[in-house]
Amino acid sequence: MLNPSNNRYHRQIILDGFGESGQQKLLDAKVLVIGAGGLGCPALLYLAAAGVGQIGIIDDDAVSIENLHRQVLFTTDDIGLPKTLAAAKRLKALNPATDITEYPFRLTPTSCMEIFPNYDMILDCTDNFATRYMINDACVLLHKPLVSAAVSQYEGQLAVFQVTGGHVEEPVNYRDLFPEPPPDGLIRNCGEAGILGVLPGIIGTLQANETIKLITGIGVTLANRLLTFDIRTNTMTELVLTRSDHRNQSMPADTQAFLQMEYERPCHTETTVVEIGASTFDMMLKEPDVVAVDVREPHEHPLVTEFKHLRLPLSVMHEGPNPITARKVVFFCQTGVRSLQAASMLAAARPGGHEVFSLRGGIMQWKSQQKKSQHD
Amino acid sequence: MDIEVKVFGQLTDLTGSAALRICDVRDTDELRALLADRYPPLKDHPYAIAVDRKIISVKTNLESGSVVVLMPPFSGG
Repeated sequence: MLNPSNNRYHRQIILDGFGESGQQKLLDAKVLVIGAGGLGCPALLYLAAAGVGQIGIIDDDAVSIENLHRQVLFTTDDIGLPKTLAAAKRLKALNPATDITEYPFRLTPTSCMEIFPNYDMILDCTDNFATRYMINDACVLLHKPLVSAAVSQYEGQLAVFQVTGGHVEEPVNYRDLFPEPPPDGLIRNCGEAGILGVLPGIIGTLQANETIKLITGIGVTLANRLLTFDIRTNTMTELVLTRSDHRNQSMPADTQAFLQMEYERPCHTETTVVEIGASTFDMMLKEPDVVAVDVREPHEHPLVTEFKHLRLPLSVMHEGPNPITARKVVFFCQTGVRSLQAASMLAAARPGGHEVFSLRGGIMQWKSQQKKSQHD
Repeated sequence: MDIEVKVFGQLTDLTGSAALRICDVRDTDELRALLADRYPPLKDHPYAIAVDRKIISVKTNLESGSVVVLMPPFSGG
């Protein structure tokens, strides 16, 4: 509930047309931001500052030094930390009332279907086409408004999809604009083509603005519009989007088809983290080249005596360079949350250098399964 | 018959310019064909076409003074 003695939102509450009802709508809103990068950082900052009640952040990456010229949530001290963790810490400091949920993993069709229904709207702040098409298709199937933005060198794009009402007769989606993803490698991303830091700063801020307008009903949104902005000339171009006859040619017809879609082609240059269950974990322990790592703090129980492992508390991992040299590493902790963070950190620190796994459910679940199998 | 074509994003690497003047095309299909002929790598690149600020998905007639936008998808975040 809105506390009238809280001055945090005073300057926006006194705005004509905003008022306490506008603020209450923000406090009640649930927004999912996918990608805590150049676009996601400013979007998250302004959404949390404005008082959005619940924010989810999906990102599987860790903060690196190349990020810092544009990813304004992070500091030099955050290098190596999972982006979701560093972002949540910063946003909590900015606005402790905002409820932040961290999803430190790469989005899949299954996780789209699990996570998206918990949110009112989705922000696409990602950096690759595979995820953009996956997010779009999930939003169409789940009827979720999508605030989509992307940048390229000195130019940005911004659009609002899947929103009805106002000037919109038939809502459009990303496939009305671009029915098919381009072939891999054809369009260079920020890492290859370069990016000036202020560009995603501007476009991500506009994304937060569209989100606040959608939540509060203020103004006119970019529903069924594509806005482009060129920071070299300050040229804004707004184009009207309409339904395309080609929109459905590759669009999954239903949830079942969506779950079967292969958005991402297998790629072996990046290290991805795989979560494994107790039985796979047991099999891996028997392999000679696998190193198991307990990332719990020294005081934590239960002690593990059943198999050989290293102890490397997550707090120590955060502090310094990674001492793990083994090629195949499986992390575990109490419940599987911190081990996933540790795995993401290692994967980000040495792309292509490791095979990294995390024990789902942690050592607690593993021990209870051990007990159960002894009884059976 | 004179059409103004504005080129966005990395498509300008292929056309060499962000603003083109094209003559003697009657519709967007002819424009696509002419552009593919003049800038062969453009054939492989996806882009949306807007005519007078409206994205089109079917063949659309062009008139003298029409402003056409060639808009590729951006992926950066």
